[in-house]
Amino acid sequence: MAWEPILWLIFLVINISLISLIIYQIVCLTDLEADYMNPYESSSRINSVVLKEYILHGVFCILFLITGHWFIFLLMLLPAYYNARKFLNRQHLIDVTEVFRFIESEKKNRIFKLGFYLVLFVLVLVSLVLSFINALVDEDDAIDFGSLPLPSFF
Amino acid sequence: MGTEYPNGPAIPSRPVSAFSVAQSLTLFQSSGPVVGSEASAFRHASPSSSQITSPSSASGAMVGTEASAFRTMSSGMPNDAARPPPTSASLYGPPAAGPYQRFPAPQFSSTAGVPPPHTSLAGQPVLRPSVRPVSGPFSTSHVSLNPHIQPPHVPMGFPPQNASMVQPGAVVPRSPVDTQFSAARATMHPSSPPAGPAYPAARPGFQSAFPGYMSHQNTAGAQAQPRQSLAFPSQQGGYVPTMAATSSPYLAQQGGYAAPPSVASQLGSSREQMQHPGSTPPTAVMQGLVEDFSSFSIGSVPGSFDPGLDSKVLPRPLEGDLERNPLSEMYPMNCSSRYLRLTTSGIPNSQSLASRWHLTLGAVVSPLAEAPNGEEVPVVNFAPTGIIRCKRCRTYVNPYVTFSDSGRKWRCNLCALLNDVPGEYFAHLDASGRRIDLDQRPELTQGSVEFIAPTDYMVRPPMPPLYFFLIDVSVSAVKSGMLEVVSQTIKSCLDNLPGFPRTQIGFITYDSTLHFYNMKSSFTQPQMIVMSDLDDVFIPLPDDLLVNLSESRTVVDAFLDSLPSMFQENVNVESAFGPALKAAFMVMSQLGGKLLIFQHTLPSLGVGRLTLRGDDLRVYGTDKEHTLRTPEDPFYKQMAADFTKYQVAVNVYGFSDKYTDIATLGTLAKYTGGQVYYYPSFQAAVHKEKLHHELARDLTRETAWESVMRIRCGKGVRSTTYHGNFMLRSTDLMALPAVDCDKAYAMQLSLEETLLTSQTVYFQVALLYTSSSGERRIRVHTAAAPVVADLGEMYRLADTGAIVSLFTRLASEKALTSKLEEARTFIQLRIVKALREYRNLHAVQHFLGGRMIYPESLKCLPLYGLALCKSIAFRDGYADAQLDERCTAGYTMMALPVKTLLKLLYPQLIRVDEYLLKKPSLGEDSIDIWNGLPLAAGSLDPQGLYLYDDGFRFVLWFGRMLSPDILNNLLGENFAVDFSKVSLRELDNEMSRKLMGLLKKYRESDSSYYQLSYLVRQGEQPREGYFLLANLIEDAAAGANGYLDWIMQLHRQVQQNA
Repeated sequence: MAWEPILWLIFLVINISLISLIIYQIVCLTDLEADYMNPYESSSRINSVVLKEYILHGVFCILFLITGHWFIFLLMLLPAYYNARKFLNRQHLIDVTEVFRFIESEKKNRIFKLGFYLVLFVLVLVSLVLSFINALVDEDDAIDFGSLPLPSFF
Repeated sequence: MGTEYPNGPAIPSRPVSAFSVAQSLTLFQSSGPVVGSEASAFRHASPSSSQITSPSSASGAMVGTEASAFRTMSSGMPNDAARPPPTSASLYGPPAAGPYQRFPAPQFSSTAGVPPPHTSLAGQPVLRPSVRPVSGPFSTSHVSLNPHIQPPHVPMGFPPQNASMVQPGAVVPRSPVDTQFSAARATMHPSSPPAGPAYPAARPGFQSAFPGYMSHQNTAGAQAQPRQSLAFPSQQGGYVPTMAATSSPYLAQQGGYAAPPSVASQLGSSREQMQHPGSTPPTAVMQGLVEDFSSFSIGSVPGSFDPGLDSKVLPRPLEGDLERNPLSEMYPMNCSSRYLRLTTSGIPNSQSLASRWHLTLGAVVSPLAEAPNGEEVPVVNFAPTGIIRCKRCRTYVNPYVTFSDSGRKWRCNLCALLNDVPGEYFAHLDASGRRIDLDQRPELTQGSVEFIAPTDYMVRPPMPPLYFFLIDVSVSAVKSGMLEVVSQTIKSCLDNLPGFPRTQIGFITYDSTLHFYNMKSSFTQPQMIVMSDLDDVFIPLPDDLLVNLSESRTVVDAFLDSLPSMFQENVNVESAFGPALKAAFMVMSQLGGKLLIFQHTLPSLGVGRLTLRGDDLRVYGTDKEHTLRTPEDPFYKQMAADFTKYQVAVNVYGFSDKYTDIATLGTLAKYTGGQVYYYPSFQAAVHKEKLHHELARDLTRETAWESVMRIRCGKGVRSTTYHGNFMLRSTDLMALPAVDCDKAYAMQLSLEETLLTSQTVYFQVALLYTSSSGERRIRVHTAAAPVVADLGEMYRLADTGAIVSLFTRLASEKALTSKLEEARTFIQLRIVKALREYRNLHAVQHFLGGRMIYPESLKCLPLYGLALCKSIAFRDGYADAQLDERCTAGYTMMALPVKTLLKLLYPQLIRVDEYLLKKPSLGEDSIDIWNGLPLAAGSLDPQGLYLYDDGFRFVLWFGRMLSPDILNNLLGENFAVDFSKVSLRELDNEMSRKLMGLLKKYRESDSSYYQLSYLVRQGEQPREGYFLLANLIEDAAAGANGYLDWIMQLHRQVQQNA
């Protein structure tokens, strides 16, 4: 089926953009720590992308749900819950007045997220390659996914 | 140590119970023969305590110096407490009391480690004659005194004497034990007169009977006297160390901390033990047995609920903050402690040592603290050279840099980099390596200097002082008279605003609309522009709202004159505070400056409108309670950040009798380096003076504008977190739009390296600011602190004031994210941990028993901890303190300098009626030597008139039985009416003038706040409870601990897992 590789391609693009948003925030924070950037600029830059990141993550999540990739969806639910909680508690934005007090924990959070997305990136990439191969070869020669040491998440 | 000794008259002595007799008997028999009679006498006291059960342990503890003697004494106390008391007078009065009296003195001599024969020889002759003339009971005991026959006898005479020794006797006014003791020391010295001196010294009445001993007694007196005056300046139930006494140990130990100090210095270092500088040195036996700590004994007789501890002996800061500055001799070039105080001046040399220091390594900085006349910070101008700084770490040149290479290089004391000396700054070195021009270089001789900064230190031309006023003119503000007082005060201060002729000024008033005032110098009357569009605020006349004061003076005067009448008829109840704030920000963002906000009601219109959330009782006591102490609307935090960015400092004045959400409004002050003032239920008639004084001080005190502050620490040490009213510009740079002498900032320090190799760590605080005169300046304070390897040394060099200040700030911050309960637990836990660590430190070498031990330097820390828990900001129960007052207290304590904070926590309570009745010729200048009273209801005598002063207000407490004469003189015809309606004013009589003079003197001693006098009559509730009784922190009230219980509780916790 031709739509499978395209779907994975979309996932890959979203994943890459999420990773870049996170890296951007981490860079802002490290710049702030190293005094390359003042707290006003740093926090306004971070705050401007936080919501975008949350929305993108939500969309990503829903896409997995409607395309029936249950395992990844459940995996994605964890950070989604975390994001939602922060948003509802109005803690998602960086508080410029207290930014230095929380800089360590904020950075740690984002590095965790980055790790999560990187793992996801590998999964998506492998799936993409496999779906490409599947689409190119004949139905009969299809790789038997059951024999691969991969979780059957697709 | 002295703390164990109760004040004479206050402590009743006890008759002997059968129980104690038996006890002392057995004990005596075992220990008696070993030492002289007096020693055995002494021992009686100790064994009877439940703590020291075996005589051997008791005597073990006793070996050695006075210190040990005292120790044992202390253990005697609980037993004493367990018995029913007769009056001390009775003990002293009848001859039977003689023996009791006598024994205590000799006890000390024997315990001092002098071999038994000595003591007995010394003691005998004296005691005998003294005993002779007395009647029956006395002579019995006299026999017992004889060392040879002593053991069997003593029990009979002794039991009572246990009591007597603890009971310091009404006869001797000041710490009798001490007197006896010093006298006793003479006895143990072979060449000195026999024990006689001790005896008479303790019993003046007795001496006269024996003229032959008068001389001894005199010597004893001479010995005791000077020390007494040194060590007991205030003598309130305990011993209060003096600067003189405490400094000696440091001198003695300067050489090295590890080196074993001499006997003398040992004695000195154990200053808690009340060493006697002038008296005979103890014998070598005592060496090493001196305790380095203070203690009092806790532990009751089994089965008794009596804690065995009298609250009178607990340490109190009755003299105010004794600024111990042990390093001033060691590092004479350090900046004064009013600028920089470290929580401990001994910096731990390793992280493992630092982790055992539970009192937080940190510093409290007050860069612009008021200097007394003659100690102003010198100003240095490096105009041609540029300011000399280290190339690597940017440290400013300071007294601790070293010059080398015949003056061509200098080594930075913080990072040890070798820098070149610029040609213009070069000077030859003399033989000892000192620069020959040292005496002309204040920056190389003094810890505090001010450099004039060249243009490299400016991002824009120095700003002029700028004052902008944002005044609420809604109906309640007008009705209360706030508007009138404010405009009068501002007008009266116009001449004194700093920075003439560059000073700029501007006004916005607001109710449901915003009112701008065009005060162009060409006008004679200000032109008012009303803006009712609150959603889209803009500035109607960008250039004329902020005017130069000297040019537009007449317009400003006219405006302030007409302001109260302008809004006389205003009936508007709304308050468009948010839009007004935005407008003010737009006007000020060009220059920066100081924004003074006078807010009388809850902001109700436009952005930043707030709700009456503080009135919602359901939130109190729940997990959400802390949200009431944090800003409700992020708008305020954002505004605060913007204000700081544009160098605007915000001072908030709150006035309402209803909830105004100071928690939210105060955010503006918190992040801009400002201050919160709050006058609950403001009424011009009552609060006028206070507002006038504080506003005038705010306007006229010397202010540093658009400043930044940084603290640099020597290699291996780093400042981590900062606490106070400011915003961080980068990890270690504090942005302070305005700084003045009433602000202090705290920071925590941590070690970066596991081991510090250097001997000394240096700290340098640099404040870059624009002075009111338009000069860019850098104020630099440098201090050095030794690196120590020993935890005990850290404790010895600890500074209670700095620790309390830092704890206050940490607890305040904790209260913003969790319950008050947790903030209080935090304080308590830290103190317990610190004391436990200290106990572990000494438990190995000393038998501690049930004693509570603490370092002398921290003797008041538990009390301040209690005071903090009971302060308005942290006390429990929403009904005990209005939310707004609580938040104000929190914001205020975040900014207070150490001295003011300590006074607020443990206010002064003094009795004034005696002073008022005294003849004017006698008492005029004796005011300084007045001692405070413990803050307990027990200190209040119904016949007295008391003054309570916490630095923010006076409370005058009129006893129920106060002589009507005084009332009449002070209050005139008002004396019978309700005190809440009476205000104190000067009447035409001596007494009233005296009282007012007294209040004035107290106000002038610290003028950062104005103390309004509240009159309270005994029994007049609820005023009495609110103003005074709730603040008597040593009393147990409303579920909170009293001082005694608090100590017991700490002690129990310290002993757990000890």
